[in-house]
Amino acid sequence: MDSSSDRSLVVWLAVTVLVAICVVFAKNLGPLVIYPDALVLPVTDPMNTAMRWFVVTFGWFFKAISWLLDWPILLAKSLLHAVPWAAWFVLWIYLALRAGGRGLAIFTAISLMYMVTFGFWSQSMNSFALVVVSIPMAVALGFALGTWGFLSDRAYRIIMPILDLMQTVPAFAYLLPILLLFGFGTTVGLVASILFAFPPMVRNTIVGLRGVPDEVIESGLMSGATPSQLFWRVRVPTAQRQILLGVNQTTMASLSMVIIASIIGGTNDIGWEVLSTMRKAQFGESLLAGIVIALMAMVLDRITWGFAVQSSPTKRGAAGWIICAVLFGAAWLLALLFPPFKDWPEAWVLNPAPAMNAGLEWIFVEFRTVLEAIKRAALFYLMLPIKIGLSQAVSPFTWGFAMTPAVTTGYSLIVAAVAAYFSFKGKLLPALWVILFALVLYSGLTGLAWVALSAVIVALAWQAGGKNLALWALAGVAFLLLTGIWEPSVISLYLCGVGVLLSFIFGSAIGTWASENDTVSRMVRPVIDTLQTMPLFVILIPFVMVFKIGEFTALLAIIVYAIVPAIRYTEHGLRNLPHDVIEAATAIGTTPRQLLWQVKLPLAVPSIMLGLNQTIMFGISMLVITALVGTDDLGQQIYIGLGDGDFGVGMTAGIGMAIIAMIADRITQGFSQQIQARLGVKLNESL
Amino acid sequence: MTASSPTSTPKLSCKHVWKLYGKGADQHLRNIDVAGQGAAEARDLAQSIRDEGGIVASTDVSFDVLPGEIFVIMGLSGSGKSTIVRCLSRLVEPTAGEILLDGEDLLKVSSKELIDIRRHKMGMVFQSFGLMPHLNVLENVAFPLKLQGLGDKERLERAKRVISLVGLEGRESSFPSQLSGGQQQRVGIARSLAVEPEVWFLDEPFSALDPLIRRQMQDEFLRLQQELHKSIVFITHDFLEALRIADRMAIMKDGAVVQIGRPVDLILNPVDDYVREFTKDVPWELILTAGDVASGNAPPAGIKEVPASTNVADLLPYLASHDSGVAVRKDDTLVHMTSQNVIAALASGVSDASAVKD
Amino acid sequence: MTFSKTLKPALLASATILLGQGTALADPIKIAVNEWTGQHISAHFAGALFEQLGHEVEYVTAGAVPQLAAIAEGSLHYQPELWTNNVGDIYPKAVEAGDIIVVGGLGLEPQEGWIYPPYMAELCPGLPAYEALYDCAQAFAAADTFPDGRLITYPADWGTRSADLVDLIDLPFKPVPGGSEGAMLAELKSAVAAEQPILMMMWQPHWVFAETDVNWVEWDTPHGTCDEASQKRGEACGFQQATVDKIVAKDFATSYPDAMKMVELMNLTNDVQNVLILEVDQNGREVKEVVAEWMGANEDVWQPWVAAAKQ
Repeated sequence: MDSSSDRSLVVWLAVTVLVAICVVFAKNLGPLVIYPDALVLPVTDPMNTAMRWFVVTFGWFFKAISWLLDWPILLAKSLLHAVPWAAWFVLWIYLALRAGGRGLAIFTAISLMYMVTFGFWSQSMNSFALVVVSIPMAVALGFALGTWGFLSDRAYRIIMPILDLMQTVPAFAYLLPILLLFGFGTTVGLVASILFAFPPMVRNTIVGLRGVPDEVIESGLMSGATPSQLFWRVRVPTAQRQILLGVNQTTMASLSMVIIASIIGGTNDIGWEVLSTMRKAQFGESLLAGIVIALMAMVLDRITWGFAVQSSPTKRGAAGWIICAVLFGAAWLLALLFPPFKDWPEAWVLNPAPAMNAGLEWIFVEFRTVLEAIKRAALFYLMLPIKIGLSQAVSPFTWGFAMTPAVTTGYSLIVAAVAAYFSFKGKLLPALWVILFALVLYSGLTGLAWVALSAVIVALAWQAGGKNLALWALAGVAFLLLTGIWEPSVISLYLCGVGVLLSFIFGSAIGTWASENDTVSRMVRPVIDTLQTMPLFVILIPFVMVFKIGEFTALLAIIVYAIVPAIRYTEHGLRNLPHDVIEAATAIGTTPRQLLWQVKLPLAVPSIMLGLNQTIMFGISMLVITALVGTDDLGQQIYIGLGDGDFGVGMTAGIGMAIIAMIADRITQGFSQQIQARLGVKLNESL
Repeated sequence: MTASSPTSTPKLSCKHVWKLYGKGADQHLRNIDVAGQGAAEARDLAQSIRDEGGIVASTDVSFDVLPGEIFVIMGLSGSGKSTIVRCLSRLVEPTAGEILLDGEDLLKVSSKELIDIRRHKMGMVFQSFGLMPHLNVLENVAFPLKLQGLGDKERLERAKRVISLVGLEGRESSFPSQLSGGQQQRVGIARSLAVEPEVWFLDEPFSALDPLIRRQMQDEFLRLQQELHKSIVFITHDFLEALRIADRMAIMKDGAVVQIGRPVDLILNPVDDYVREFTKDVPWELILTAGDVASGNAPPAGIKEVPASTNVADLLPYLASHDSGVAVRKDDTLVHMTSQNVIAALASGVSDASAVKD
Repeated sequence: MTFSKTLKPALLASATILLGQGTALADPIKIAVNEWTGQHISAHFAGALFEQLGHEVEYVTAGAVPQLAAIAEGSLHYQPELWTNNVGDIYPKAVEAGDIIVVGGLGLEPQEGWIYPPYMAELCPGLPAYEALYDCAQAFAAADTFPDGRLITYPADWGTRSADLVDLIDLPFKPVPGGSEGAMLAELKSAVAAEQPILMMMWQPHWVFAETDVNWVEWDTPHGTCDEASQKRGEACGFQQATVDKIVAKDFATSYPDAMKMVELMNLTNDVQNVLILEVDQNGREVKEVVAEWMGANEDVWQPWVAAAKQ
């Protein structure tokens, strides 16, 4: 312990000194502050050349696949449209009834009625056709790869890092190569959707197959199973639950691609509805369409989840199905007699969009001054200092005074006093961190020399995960520098950092509240469910209308999305603590407040840390979306690549985002494990 | 308990079986004639392999299982008893040695033949039951038959038969998660019996159950065996359980067999302190019979006569008041037994006799 | 598995569909569809004309630049409305190589430039002349740009022309990339509703001008065409106005000679497009329906083209 903390001290001292030098002599260090363009490797051109060669050489193969994939979509569409909605209604409600009982059936009925009465049925079916075709394909692909990874250790070692990369590189980054390879049209959306949706299936398949108890395998062997019988009749059915969870996650991922699929191969589907209304800044219309996607996602999620976790597989007879089939037929017949049961008349369609738009307008006109004040406060006192540093953010216009030498001296003295206080108490490392933080805050992330920022990142990685992680972080930082995406990366870091910080603070506070108060919990849950399933493009429009184009709006968008895991994991962690510990603490006579602060929260730290980790991942994935409100981060680079047809630029930015995500992931995981080890608690990861 | 004559040919033989794990496990025994070396040599070899960092799970294990016999392998966790039962069924591939089933070396059969042997000649019961969670009781029991491709009718008929054998009628459509531990193990037993095996392996079948249920299941198991007369290898870490059910038993330690014999032999003549340690807590008077402790001498005339199978415990009150003892009828002959014989038998299990010196 | 169970009847059904629509196998003409409504109208107008000639038509959604790769390669056939100011390097190269054929102008006269709502003229009296912006930048300022004015430009992936111009003529404005068309319009709508300052790069024809009253910033008159790269204060011509071209794939003329003839004749003006855009975007009607309705009312415009193309 002592020697390792000694080493920490040396490392952080070195980093602090380096950062201090960089901040003080920022003007004299030239290439150490701003990474010289001359040292950027021209990677994008070779990447484009390689891609072009690949397309020319193997294009025919992918075009053939594309042609083949067209048919199932066409088929699904014609099937979905041929059957009247009333008949589908019967089928879905029956499925919901079996998967989750009456509550789910009612929810499903309301959701379907929403699609019908708001006039989205036809578009919904077009989107659903894509999902319906992509899910089995993604499941089959994921299952096959998962099985391969299970059977062969070498395959496993190849597959896992690729999955990591695929799940962290934003989908937008690989849209362009898909376009180039598969041509244009709905197939592209399908391919993108499959590629995005299959990784969770692979993971769950591997976890499931590995988790089959030895004795079940042995009992299969002793029953005289051949290798193939052992796999299909013993392993797979035993792993069924985990595999079905994979199907569930694949379904959700596939649905989340509906919008993105529309961007490249838009037909008259719900994603296109959201996109085109959003493009026209029609808040009400896009929200209404976005809700359809959220409802679809929630219904499919609950149904697949319901089938996956039915712990005792009670096999009901065929009777239910026969009743369902009869009602299905009856509904179809009804639709033939009364056309509204097939095609909902235009005149009956509800359209509250104009009212919603007017409502939003009323809000941003009436509360303009308040909203503006909030924005200013956040911008002046939080965002700008972190972005460009106190040295530049503090001005008479913003803080009411200038950053004169006297003020700077005062700042230094305060920092020195705090650091001295810590070192006086023997906490040398925290003292160093205070100084480091103060230095970074003074110069701002964008003003900080690349050498200094890199050193901080690598040192953090070292602290969290030792030498190995530090080397990985170094390699990642080198990639960002050498490919010339350092500046947008820093902006991404800043936006995400602030977003994650706020999400985490507010999210864990809400989560804690919800864990103590059932009413709050019941109110929070549907909200975060909706936030997680609603296409986030929809939220951008009202935010822009209220807060204008720019980073504050982007920040809000990040928070809205990234706050979800922070709330969820905190509540989950606090509610699922070992009963005996709580009982023991209560028996000792703790007050509720003491119980929360001194028993529950410390024990829930691992779960909360996992929430932080997920918050970071969610935040990074939002960068692509926030680029739509005008940020200069890596997400914007991806759009530039997509818009210019420049594979290299888009892909480099995509990989850059993946690298940031993976380093952040490993660092938080590393710290989380250290805390777990210190607390002696183990994380129960099921959520 | 069925008495077995030691002269009959063994149903299953385990001869000089070794199982090594770890890197280069195959290398250690490459040039060694495992059948030709003595016990002491084997022990030294195992030690030298361990010294080189190898992991020895089984050291030169040999025993025979006679037809219709309950052979118990008893040992603490890590003693290698689970490894050896898995070697017998080739769930674990032994590193060296022979497993003879009806005289045929199991280790030499092809994987296809092995599957066939498992399908028809072997059954196995597992500690945590090893049931298929997605199948109900009937389907679980019928599972081995389904794998054989047996027709629906015969399969279900046979499955129902064994289900009623283990007393689970009426629960056929329940799923494992809806059953208690005892019931789940009944399903495991029924499944292993469904193929009508000749050799029956039970790997700590009752260890996961509550004591009361365990006792019930043991009785039930003995009842079944009276009906079925299988050749059984039964693994347990519970010495009392072993005593209750074993015809013969082997005690294992560190992968090697320490002693083989009838329970009484072990109690009366433990080979070392390790075995004696187990026998310490045994309520001997319940285990020992008059035949076990009686002297070889002819009894004086006119004293009470008892059968050899009488528990010593039942005789204690009588012996306490009759110094002349009893006559014990062993087969056709009568032998003499006094309280002195009882005390001598009890004394053999005490290792440290120095407390009282002559 | 259940998948194969559902697949079998599904395949049978697809076979039936195939037999039912034998002609579906004929190669349709693929028309590029971009992101804005005006282009949708041009595309569907073109499609309807091709259908008059008896061709099958497929509308394919494609981004502004990827579509060029697709046309050059032949997997897309026709783009009736290509804005020549919004193309990457690939376009001139492909035209030079002969992979993309430029057939001529569509007839649209687009305008691009900076717009502001009329109430801004009170705060900045010199407008619409761009010179006025030097003095009243603060009237356009926002918290994050103060003391400079705030200028919303095209999204970053559409290029940096406004930002370049601000640099060249030393305007005290900070360019803020609009992010997306939706965000730009949201900003415009909310600014106008709350009478807040706004200066934004915009293009027309666009439906928003039917709904919102705006003025265009005026520039110095250029000598000849405007060279965007060499401007300075006093000689600022603003933006080189785009042309809107009809482009086809290399083999289009040989594969579909009659359709090629139609492409040559086809023509669409600002007035027509503006009316139709309004119908679609404000009255929420289908593009197809609006185009068909207009074509029904104006047969005299396009019937002669069909007749000429059929010869």
